[in-house]
Amino acid sequence: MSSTEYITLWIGGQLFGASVARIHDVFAPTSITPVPLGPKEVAGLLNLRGRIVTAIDSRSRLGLPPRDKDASIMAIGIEKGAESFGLIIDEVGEVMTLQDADREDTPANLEPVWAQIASGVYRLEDRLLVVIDIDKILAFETDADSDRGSKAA
Amino acid sequence: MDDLLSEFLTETAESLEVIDSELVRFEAEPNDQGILNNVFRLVHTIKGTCGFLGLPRLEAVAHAGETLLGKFRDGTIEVTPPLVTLVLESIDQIKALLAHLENHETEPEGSDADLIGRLEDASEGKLSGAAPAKDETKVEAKAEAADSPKADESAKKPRPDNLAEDVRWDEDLGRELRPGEVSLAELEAAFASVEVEDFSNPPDHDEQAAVEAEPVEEAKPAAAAATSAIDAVADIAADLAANDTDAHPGAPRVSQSIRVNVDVLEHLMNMVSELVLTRNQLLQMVRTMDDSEFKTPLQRLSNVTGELQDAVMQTRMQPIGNAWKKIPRIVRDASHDLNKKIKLVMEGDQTELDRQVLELIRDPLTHMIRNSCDHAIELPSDRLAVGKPEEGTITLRAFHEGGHIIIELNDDGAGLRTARIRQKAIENGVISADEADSMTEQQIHRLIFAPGFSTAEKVTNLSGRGVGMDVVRTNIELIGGAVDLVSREGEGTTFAIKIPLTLAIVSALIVGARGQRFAVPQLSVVELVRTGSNSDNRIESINGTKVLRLRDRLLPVMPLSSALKLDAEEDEKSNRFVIVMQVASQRFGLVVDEVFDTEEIVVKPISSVLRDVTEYSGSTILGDGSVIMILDPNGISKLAAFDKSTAGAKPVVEQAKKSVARGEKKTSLLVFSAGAAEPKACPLSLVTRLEEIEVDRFEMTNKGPVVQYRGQLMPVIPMSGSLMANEEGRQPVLVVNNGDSVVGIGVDRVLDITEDVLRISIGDESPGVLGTAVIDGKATEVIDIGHFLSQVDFDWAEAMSEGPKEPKSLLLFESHDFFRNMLAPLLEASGYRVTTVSSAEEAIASDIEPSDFDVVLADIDNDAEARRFMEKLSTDADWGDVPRIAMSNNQSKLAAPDFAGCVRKSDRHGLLAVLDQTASLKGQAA
Repeated sequence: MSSTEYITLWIGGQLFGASVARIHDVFAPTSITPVPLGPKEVAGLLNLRGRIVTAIDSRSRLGLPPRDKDASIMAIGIEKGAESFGLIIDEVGEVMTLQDADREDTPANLEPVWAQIASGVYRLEDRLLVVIDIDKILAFETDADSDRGSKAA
Repeated sequence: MDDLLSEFLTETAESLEVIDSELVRFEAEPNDQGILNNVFRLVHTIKGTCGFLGLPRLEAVAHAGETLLGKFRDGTIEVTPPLVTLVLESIDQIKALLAHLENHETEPEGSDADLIGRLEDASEGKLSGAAPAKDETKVEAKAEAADSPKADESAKKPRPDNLAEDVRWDEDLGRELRPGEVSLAELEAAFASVEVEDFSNPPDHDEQAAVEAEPVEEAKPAAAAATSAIDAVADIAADLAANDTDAHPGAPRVSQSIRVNVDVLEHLMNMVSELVLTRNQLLQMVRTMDDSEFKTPLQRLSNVTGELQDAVMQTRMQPIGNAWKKIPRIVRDASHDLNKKIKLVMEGDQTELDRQVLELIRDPLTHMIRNSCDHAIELPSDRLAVGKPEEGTITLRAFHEGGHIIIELNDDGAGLRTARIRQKAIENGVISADEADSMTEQQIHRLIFAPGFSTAEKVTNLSGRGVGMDVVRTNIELIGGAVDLVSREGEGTTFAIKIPLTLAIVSALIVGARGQRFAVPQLSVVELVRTGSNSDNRIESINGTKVLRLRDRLLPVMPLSSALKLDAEEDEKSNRFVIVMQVASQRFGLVVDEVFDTEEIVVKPISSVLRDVTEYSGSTILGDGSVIMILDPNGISKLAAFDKSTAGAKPVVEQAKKSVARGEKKTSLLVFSAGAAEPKACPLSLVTRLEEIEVDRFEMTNKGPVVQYRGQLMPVIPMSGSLMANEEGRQPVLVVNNGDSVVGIGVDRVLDITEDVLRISIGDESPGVLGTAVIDGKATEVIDIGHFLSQVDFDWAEAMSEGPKEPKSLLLFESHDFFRNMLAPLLEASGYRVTTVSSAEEAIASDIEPSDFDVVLADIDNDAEARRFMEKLSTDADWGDVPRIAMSNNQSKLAAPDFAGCVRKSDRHGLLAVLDQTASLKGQAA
């Protein structure tokens, strides 16, 4: 019976799982350089051991309210093509091995953004774990910052 | 691809470049045996390798070319321009075969019998201009003697005495050599003499030289009157022995080098960049510590890193001559075609610059050279008439100047005709007549770089036959360069291109705005100005727009904080400096709070998710380890609407907002208003040109308003029912090219040009409207241009349209709603009876019969659907008689097989032209 190893993540009080195979590393992001005019999902750029990593804010990606200013954050490092991304999350949990057969389809009534990034749900004993599709969470429309339309011409 | 084959292709491509330029040189100096030998060797190498790789067609062409060159070399045939052209033709054919080989890994079908035949005729002296030298046999005998191997080894079978003198004998084989065959002794000599591969030459270069050099040293000249051929070969031998390249100026350098894959160099470069950054970080850390034990070793590390960086940079450097190799041939061909006499002088071809820059400069330069040949240099008779030497001179010069390379292109031709440029610029709407009056001659000359200056034919020709100087300028500016010109009418023109040595490391000014730091490439910074209420340079504002009094001029300025929408309170530290920047011809100021220092930065490409944000050209890591965004002066200038062409329009960055992630095709859309307040839009590709025509230029005829436009009458259809909302002033007109005629559509105001995914969400039955789509967040009516074209009085349409004489019927397969709705009326307006199907199912369900149609036009962007549609067509053999044309928005798909023609969807003229040709094919093919 095949199983997958997941690293568990907390984002806005929800437990998520991401396949360990796609996670390059886990780090505490420091000194993120914001990118003015960039898409709202992009928290900024940071230097991770000499590489420039594009930090994606998972909360804004999922349409969740921003976290408190001085709340501690963590990030998981993801390589996509030749580029490095860091997905900023609230907290990193443990690594779990879950049976593929136990994975259930994403509920139909999930919000579209969530449905888009979720590739399944596990019923753990005490709570639900949403499986994140890493490629989907990094692929977002960059026309999100429509608030720029009001720019004085 | 086979390693061997790809190696062969790379080498041969290099050899061919050398051959091209050498041949042109040879034509000018037919007595220089050194050049001829070089060419002969290279062709021979190509031929030999072809045989080895089993490429008979290539081999045959190369062989025929080589034979003719051999006759040149022997002096049997005199060198004349037609013969050189013939050799060049065979080189071109080799190139064509190679191109096919590269794409398909096999030689193309067909034969080159004609070319080979002509080459052979020429070799036998049958071609005009190829007068055989008088004592043919004698000369040949002497030359052959030089080529024959040494004859003093006992084990070899000696050459029979009764053999004709011009037969080549191989003593190891004991038989005659077949044409093109090389004797074993020569081969051995060749192998023995191979020492080093040369980076800039095929490895066979040395071998080949040795093949010819070796026998000379040992063979006894047959006659006392040793010919010049032998002398020349001996020269080469001597040159090679001394490894001295100077004896043959311009001949490729022979030096100790190896081939390295470019990827390896790129990787090396990246790693060194990282090393430099890490070193900078370390230095910064240690600087803050007093008396650290790290200081000395770090100093050493710093030095070594610096040297390593220089050395690695060196590997990326190539002489600019590499980008010039094709130019002699271009000038030669151009002068032949145009019947002009042009001399090309190239200076400083050893000036080195970054490989990447080199690649990018090649095309603009070639284009400019062509322009000079074509437009600048006058015909010989005209030159003589104005007292110039008959032969025109184009000088290409490259040199270093303070971290940049300057390339100067000078011609002694006619110079720019100021009056004509002014007139054309006004005609094309680049400048207004008033503006033109206030411009200096130099400013007017610079208009040739302005977008939209090219003539109408060029603008509509999407295939890109003629790119204008604006494209040249854009390409040069893309690599951070600049181009300018000085021209004097009647005396000539000098273009100066300034390009950075490398793109990898740039010098940048680090500035701060609202507590955040940004890097500005120093190349575009003209000066720094300190401002303040008590300074001479005050920032003032006119209706909220900020300007700076700078000396005796007003400079438009924009705070970086508002350009980037940084929200933070202004304080006493705010807006203390203005960075005066120059982007193309635009000069503007960027107001910043702080200026830190300059730093050499390694530009990292911007992340894919930020690619749409045109304000940045990249990011980098500073010495202190922090990441910083690099501002793109181009993007900033557009954002700030300093750029005149975008003034009034929304910032480009918003136009560029797109949904790449969705993977849907964006369409360039022209947004305008007409009649009602809500915006209207149509695909920009349908509109040839935007004009503002003065209202008093409209003339009324009984068929509606017309205007004289570029020598013809253009009917103008008001989109909203009435023209000339204003009694005076200008009427915006969308000029639509319909076949050979133009039609104008009058609108109230052109609002914007934007890029968006066009999804018509609400269909519309009203005529002239395809439906409503959300464009830039606003509900916008999408206009059916075709409808307005058909409104033009039929007589007009008839008179002006070059459509088919009797209506042809056409089956349009297009799965995309928008294009189907747009193309059908357009095609109908052009005289086709159109039947549309939107899916393969529909095609299968409907009872379309092959006999009903003259041509099938199929969209192939939707792969699966298109395949099924084609399958449907292939079920009935009769469909085979109906020519098919493929349409795609994807350039790479345009080579689709099974189709009589392929066009881009947006290329309306191309489409109509291909349709017109193809529709008449039906029946002929059967």
